[in-house]
Amino acid sequence: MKLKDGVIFTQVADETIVVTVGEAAQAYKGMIRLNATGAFIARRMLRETTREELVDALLQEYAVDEETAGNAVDAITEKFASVGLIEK
Amino acid sequence: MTNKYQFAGICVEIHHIYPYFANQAQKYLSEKAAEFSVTVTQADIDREKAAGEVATADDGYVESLVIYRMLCEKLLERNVLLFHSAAISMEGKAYLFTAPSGTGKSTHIRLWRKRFGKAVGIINGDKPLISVSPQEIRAWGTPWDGKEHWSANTSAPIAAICQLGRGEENEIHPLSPEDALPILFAQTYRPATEEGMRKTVQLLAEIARRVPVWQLKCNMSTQAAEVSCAAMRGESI
Repeated sequence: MKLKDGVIFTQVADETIVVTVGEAAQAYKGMIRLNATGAFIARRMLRETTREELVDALLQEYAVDEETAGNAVDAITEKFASVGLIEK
Repeated sequence: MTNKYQFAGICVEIHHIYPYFANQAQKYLSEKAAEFSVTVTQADIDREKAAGEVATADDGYVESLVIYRMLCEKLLERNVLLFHSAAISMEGKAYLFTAPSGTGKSTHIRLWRKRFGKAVGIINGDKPLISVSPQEIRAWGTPWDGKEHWSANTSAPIAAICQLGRGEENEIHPLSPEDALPILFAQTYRPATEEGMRKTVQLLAEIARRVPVWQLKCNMSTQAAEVSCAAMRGESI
């Protein structure tokens, strides 16, 4: 899976703000606020990746168990899918 | 046609085709040195019409929209953005009301005028510009002024911003900068470029940090104006 072209990440204080231009803006014109973990996952979706790779990356970066990492990845991918920002 | 105009304190040279814009923007003519220029072609107008929303509109009117879009892309580099709202003034300060179209911005402004009379001045009823500088965050009148044509070539530092929603009773509460940001973003001009979009988010975050943002649920009584005015002016209700 991969995010559509035009998904932009920008930092505001402690949060990562996600907004869209171009193709991504056709699907979604709102703003998504992410914490550090959410941003860590979402930024990896700028390139083609899989759930497994995302969970592995999270396990390497943070001291969490596999279930927690899996839930975090699912929450973020579902969030982006629900607003149409993941390429079909 | 070519003329120089001043918007948000910035002088711009505009090359365009139809007289509609020249009439609309007469009060904004300027003799200063232009900081940049924009040029509209018939192809730009046709592209705007093909995009759908204004397909059947008059070319002159569409040209005016295209000019504002081009200006907004350039003004962003100078820390100025278009914030869709009704901007009024009182005692030298600006108060901005924002809401989705049809949610009662005009009604609320009429309530302020009914309750506070001549103390209320109009800056712009629909599409004012906001400039962000280290010293102040200021609202500016523009000739793009919505269906009521409420506008004046004037400006004032912004004291507060308020999002309007309908309610049975009148209630107002403050928003944190984090919660205010998406609300401001939803009513701000969306630049086409990635760089412009980043700049927009950063400017809005700064506005949300420096200007109090309120959320009002209101009915159509003059009490609604009293409630928003007291909160936005920092008075106890």
